[in-house]
Amino acid sequence: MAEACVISNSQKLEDGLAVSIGGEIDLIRSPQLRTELAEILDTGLERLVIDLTAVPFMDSSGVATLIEALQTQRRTDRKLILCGLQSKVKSIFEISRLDMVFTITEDLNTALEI
Amino acid sequence: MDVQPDLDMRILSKPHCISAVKSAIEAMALAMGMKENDGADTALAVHEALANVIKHGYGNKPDQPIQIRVSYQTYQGRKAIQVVIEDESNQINLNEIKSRSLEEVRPGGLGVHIIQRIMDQVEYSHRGTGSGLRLTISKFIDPHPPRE
Repeated sequence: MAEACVISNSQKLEDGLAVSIGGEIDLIRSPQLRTELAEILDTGLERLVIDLTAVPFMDSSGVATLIEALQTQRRTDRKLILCGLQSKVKSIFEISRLDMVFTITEDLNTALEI
Repeated sequence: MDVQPDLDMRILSKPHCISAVKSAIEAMALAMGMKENDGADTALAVHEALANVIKHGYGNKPDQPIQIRVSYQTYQGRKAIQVVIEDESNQINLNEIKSRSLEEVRPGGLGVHIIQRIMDQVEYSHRGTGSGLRLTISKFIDPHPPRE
């Protein structure tokens, strides 16, 4: 059975793409997210915005997936921006001090202005 | 002497079972008087501990037993929620369980760090049965110690 997509929506930007992720990102769904992000990043986007507004929970496997995506972008001097973090998602980034590593904005509109 | 747990759960090492335990821990923490954010963090720590058992202890085999016992305890003279997680994985050297340096930005190794950052007590031990690991974690219910 094919896994349901984790990325629920995408919006083209002048220099890249804004995607929305939905649902809990944990051990079960992180591999699917990794696959979907790898396909997107393979296209060489100057800027990728990931909207997490509809993600109520993320565990360390989800965070690890986003670290991989960030590293892929930074290797080629490209940008990855996270936005719309709910409190539980914000908390795991703060606990692991990755809120200092990622570019994180309050919402999608702010992310699009960067 | 072992204290009778308030909640005693046995699950199989399947990722979807973790979500059920996470919800139960969060509800239990709130019922014990923990603040909402601390309850959510405690549930995250238990989630990470169970994920580590599944990934590293059992190598993602989905039919292995995990026991989770939750109790209301006094730890260092303060009220705390205590969670004991036991598995039957091959015994490992306890010194191999390490939190990674946060200076390294890389995927992997975050789970142990998250558990240590959230919980006030983290103790790994071997079970006395020849196999398996026991993780005992506690978090104070009142975040501030009583004044002297």
